[in-house]
Amino acid sequence: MSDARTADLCRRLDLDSETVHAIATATAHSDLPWYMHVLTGIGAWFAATAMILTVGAAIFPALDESSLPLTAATFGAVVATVSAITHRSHKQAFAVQLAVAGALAGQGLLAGGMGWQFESVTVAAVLAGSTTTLFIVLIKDQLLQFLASTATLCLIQAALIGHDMPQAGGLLAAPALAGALTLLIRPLGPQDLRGLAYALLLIPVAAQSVLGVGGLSADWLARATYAIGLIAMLWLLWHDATPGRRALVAVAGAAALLLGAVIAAGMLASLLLLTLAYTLGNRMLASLGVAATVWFLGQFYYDLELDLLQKSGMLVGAGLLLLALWWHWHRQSATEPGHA
Amino acid sequence: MHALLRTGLIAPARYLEALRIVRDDAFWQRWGRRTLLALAVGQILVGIVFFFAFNWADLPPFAKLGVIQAGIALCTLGAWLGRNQPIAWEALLTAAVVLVGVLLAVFGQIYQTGADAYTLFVGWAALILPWVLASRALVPWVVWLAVAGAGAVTYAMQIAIPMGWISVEGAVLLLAVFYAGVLLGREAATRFGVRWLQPLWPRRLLVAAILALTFTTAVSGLTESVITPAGWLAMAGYSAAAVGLGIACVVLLDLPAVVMAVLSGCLFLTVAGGRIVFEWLDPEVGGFGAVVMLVLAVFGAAFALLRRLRVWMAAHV
Repeated sequence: MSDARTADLCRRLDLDSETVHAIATATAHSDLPWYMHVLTGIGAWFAATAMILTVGAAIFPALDESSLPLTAATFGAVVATVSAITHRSHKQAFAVQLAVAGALAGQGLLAGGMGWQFESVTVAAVLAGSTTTLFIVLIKDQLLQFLASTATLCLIQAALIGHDMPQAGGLLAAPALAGALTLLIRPLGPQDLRGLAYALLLIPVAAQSVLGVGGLSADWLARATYAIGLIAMLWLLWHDATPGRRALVAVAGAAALLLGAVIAAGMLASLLLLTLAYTLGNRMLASLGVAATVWFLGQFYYDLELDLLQKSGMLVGAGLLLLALWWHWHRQSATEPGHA
Repeated sequence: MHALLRTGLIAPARYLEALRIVRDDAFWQRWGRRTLLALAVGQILVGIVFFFAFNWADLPPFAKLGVIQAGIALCTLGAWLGRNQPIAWEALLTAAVVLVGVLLAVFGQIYQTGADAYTLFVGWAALILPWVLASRALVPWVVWLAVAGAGAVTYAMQIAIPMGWISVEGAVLLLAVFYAGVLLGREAATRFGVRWLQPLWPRRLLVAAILALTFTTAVSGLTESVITPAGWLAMAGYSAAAVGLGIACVVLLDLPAVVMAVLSGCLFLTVAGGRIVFEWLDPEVGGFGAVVMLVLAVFGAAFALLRRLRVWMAAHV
């Protein structure tokens, strides 16, 4: 955050500038660069895996096969508990990463062991969800929050598919997207739930790529969910835009909805990610949105409900419409005072 | 912003408003326009590709090659017309450079030029070299380095190694030496003030490529049941690359590149230590426990070293 923007923030929200500067400086100093986190993360995850294998190699050969699932679940619960205690009592980067790896492995063993015992993905999903809730309450760690929530959401999606639920992708996406947008736009204050929010936002989108494309009948719920999400984000943009820009936002929104409606739910989700990135000023979401757009455009090739000539016409038409929008925006920006 | 939110200075209801205030509006306006343009152009191009895919089998060879050549000509013309816009120049030249490879692949498909994949890559690298030399742009250079590397690898796999002229390890080390030469050239050119080479990402990409090439060969040699002389050569080559690049990047005050060298070193030491441990101990009687100690020692020492280097570099920038 630049000094000018910090000053503007303090002036417009009536904040004490010295306090804001002190908090910003403390945050910047305590943050290691991401590539050093990667190094410590890799080391810690290796160490955690070897620790679990050490204990596992000592315990499991002595057991008969029928008691393995419950033993794995119990072992997982112990590992998760020890990791949670380690995380709460240590602040060093390596110990924190070690605890995150251990906690996640513990969650996997607990949920996997119980799921194996009852031969049910639903049981595994419920246990993974319960463990994630405990982690969120007890451990303030965004990475663990994201990874544990990701594991839970993957199990929920697998359970929905396993039960042959129609619109399985949409059934996960609808509540998850509502939660994600709420947490990202209006956070809960002292409780930082960004890890959960990103998992709720991204995992159902990833699920769309696994579920593939199969026309409107296959994923109408997911399409409707992402269309509603996109309309909500566009409404925010429209509300914030200058009167001259509102028509552009409305036409761009209509084009995006049309494009998503005819291509795939995943395409609508990618456009939602791009819009959300723009609204929040979030570069990570912007990169993911671009990657998702490329991915879902490529996946559109395999949609069997349309032939390549129809798809070609739709894409060229949509592209020309977007090109016209870009030209309009470009001209409008060029005529505005102080444009970049 | 989240730190301010956590301390209660910003109310959740005003979070979005606060984000809008601190957001770099000019950047996001530019990003929005570029994304919209990329989406538009991308969809039109994908639509055109789908159109030709629909009719591909019915197109005569002349039309197939003609379409791609027209694409090359249009991209080159577009690059020339947009030569004052660096992004347009670089993007269109890169597209033309890639289309040359597509042209050669389609040519090979139509006229069945044989199973020697290296001819495609070597021919591609040779044909685009004049453009790349003239481009003074980074992305065409990266494409050329990747194509030249693929040409070298396929030539080694199809000709040089089967003929016994060189070992796998020797071929990989030669390629790494080639990339090291390019890296040296880049560093020298930036010293002489070549502005388009100033961005740091090509250096980091080359460091990553050299480390990845030498590391994979060294680990492959290390995990053989009996380490051969070629395996020892690969390990020596990797060690020289990691130590040399690590020291050079410390001198250049490039911490991310140093971290790459250190991380690869940690992984190599872990694999080497793991091999020694499991030669002496069974997994059930403390083998994994010894690995835990090893990992903690190696990564802990590396982390401590990097923290000191970070402070030292910050003081010397």
